[in-house]
Amino acid sequence: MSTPPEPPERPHDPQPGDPQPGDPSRQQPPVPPPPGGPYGPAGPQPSQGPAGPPPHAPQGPAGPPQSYGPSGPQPPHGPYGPPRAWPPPPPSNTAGVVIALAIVGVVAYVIVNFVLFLATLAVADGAASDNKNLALVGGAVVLALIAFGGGTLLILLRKPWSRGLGMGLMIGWALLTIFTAGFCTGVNPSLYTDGFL
Amino acid sequence: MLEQLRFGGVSVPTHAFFVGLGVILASVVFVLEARRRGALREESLVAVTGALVGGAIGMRLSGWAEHLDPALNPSLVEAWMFGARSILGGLTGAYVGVLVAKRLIGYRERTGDLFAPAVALGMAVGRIGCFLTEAPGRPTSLPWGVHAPATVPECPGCVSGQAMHPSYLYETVFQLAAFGALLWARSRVDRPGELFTLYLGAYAVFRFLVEFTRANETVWLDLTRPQWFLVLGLTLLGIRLGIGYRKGFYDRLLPFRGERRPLLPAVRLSPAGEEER
Repeated sequence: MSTPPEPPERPHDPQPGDPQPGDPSRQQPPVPPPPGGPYGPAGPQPSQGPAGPPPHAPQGPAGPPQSYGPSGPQPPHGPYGPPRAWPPPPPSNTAGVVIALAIVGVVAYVIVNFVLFLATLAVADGAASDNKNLALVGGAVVLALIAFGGGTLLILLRKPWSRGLGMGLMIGWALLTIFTAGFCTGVNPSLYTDGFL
Repeated sequence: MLEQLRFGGVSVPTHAFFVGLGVILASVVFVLEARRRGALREESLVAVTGALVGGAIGMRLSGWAEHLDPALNPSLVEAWMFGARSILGGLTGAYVGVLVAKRLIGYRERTGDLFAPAVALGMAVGRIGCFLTEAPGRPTSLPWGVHAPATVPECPGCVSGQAMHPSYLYETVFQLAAFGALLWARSRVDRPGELFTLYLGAYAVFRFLVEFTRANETVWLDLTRPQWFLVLGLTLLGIRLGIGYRKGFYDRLLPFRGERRPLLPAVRLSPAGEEER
């Protein structure tokens, strides 16, 4: 049994007399680490191009490098140091997604509305004369539930696409109500029953 | 009168066509104005959703409080199912809808200035549909009086064959003028929300006056229901505009006051305001 040889000293390990940050003598090309060895925060990354932190890491001067290896004191979080607290990625602009999905929601509501409109007419046609209005009121309630119940649920999902889709359903209901005097959204049953069709 | 428009073999209800065209044009103007003010974002879409949903509900439910005697009014369900299409009800509902929508998402910025030019242009177009399908106005001997067929509903002047005020065209002209004035004034009114307040005030005054040429039923003191509604609205708007005038919100629209009064400190310090000027 023999004692394993000490690993070679890393050039960036802090040593007494090392140049301090900002010292021009620090500006030297990085020395490649031993193959397979761990990398300090400022060391070169394998197959990742130049040294330095990933794109979202703070771009300040490198902090004191951590010692590693059998000879150095072990940090409390292991040889790689504590998990890095990455700053959150910059907020992405979701307005485009929300607006686009709102338009999709309007179109989707118009299609659903048309199908239910025909179904409501069919049900009202087959109902006794006393129950025709009831069928039409039921159709109006179902359409409003799709727009506002479904829309609210989608908005509560809190995703950009779901928020856009949810608002689109509500906008679709409102536009059809305004354009058609409630004809398509089931409001105004006299339009259905007074020989309008 | 023109109940249906024909495009090739397809016939489209005239009123719905012009309302739809007005909404489309208003949407375009809204987007352009939001882009110009850097407000083309999700919160603006939430405000639009509130405006449309509130407007649709408001115009349906406006018939619910038609009479002072509650016994004469329809029930809420009846008003909802058979309600009228009142512009004033729609505008009020849209205003409330925007407030509710912004409260739900905790958004505190004023959004009315985005809506003002869009609403003016949209209503200018939509009123053409009203002119082509509804009772145009009260009888008049003025040379621009128009005639309408006796089949137009709720139109005594149509039945008797009298010339009538083209009251909806008056409104179209007013809205087009308002649209131009808003475009002119938008870089001169720095205080957020004041452009919309000015538009509402001007429309309320105009609407109160044009009702004297409108064929609506008079209910008390020879005033129509919209006029009685506007008595309250004009009072509130008058107080609000008076406060704004005293605080100098409109000084840059009034040359004599603009010279006498310095800009508000908040305006002078606002880089955005400086840029706009």
